[in-house]
Amino acid sequence: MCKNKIISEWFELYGDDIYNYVVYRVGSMDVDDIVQEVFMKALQKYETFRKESNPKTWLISIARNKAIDEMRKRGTKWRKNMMPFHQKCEIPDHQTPEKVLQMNEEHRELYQAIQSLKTNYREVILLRGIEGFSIKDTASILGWSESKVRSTYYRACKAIKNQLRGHMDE
Amino acid sequence: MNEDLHKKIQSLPKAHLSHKQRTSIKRNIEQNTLYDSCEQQQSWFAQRVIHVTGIAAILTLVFLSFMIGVNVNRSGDIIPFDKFKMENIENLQLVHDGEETVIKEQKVIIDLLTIISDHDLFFIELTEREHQKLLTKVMEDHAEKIHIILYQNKGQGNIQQYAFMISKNGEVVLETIHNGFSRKGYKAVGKHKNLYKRIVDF
Repeated sequence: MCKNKIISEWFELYGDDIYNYVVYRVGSMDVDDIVQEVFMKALQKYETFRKESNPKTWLISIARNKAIDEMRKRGTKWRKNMMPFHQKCEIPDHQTPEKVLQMNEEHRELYQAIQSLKTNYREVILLRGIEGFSIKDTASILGWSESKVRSTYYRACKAIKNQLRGHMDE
Repeated sequence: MNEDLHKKIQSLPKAHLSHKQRTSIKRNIEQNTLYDSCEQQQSWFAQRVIHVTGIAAILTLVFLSFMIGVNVNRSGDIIPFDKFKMENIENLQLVHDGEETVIKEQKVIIDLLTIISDHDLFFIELTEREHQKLLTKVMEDHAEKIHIILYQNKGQGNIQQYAFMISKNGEVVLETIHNGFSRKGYKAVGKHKNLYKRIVDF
């Protein structure tokens, strides 16, 4: 099978996962461009892909690098790029976290708590929690040890709980 | 409690591509193959151009070097060091009496060899690396004909750092002609005293 066919299939299979990851990672601006760039990059670098690993893990790694580049390009911190939930905006017909979370107060608070975390915590929550990667895959994407993923995820959850408790106290 | 939070995090809504976005991206990915192969063709072409240009440049250099070598012998104005003979000096002296003739050395170690013929004074200007060999030979073969050898210490660069070796009737004397030949100048040429000694001992 030729590589463009394979990448096209991967896009069918994992396009939404990549899209979701990028939305949570960089906000809702130009997400489809970034997703496209991710698959273009995969097409370009297909020969370097080690077949024994999961394509989704590989694609998420590319997406993560693209997201980092994008944030650098924008020159602002991740949090600043996230579109606030209360902001009225024209949202296309597809689901974005902003649109969905507007409907659910609990989700909105949780989302905000995640955004306020430090980078390491956010990364691990996004991959392990939201994207549902295994500890092994999360470790592979982030280049960490599995025990680091476990402990960071634990601490990130603790930090989120503190955030949510703070909100409730207010 | 972490388990509950984990479930809550997992239940966060998922964003997904619209049909329009999906179609557009998919089409671009598939079209990119064409661009990709086009890029590959371009880079292949660019590589070939670079190779051909490189080879052409090398061939040109070889050709030019060869032509210079040929011209040297043919014109008589530029003579490779290994073919440098005392006859050349004499010939040049005869032919170009009162004029300035430049003999350019082809070897890397001698970048410039200038012969100036001026009446009965015979100046040889040399770069420093091969001076000993050449000067010694000149002195051995033609001491009686040579009145002045001007040795320029290239690294120093001004007239005060020139040494002049004067030969009169076969007797070699190390002298300074220029009034401004200073102590500094002596120092500059001091490192070549073995050469002078050899000439003086001759």
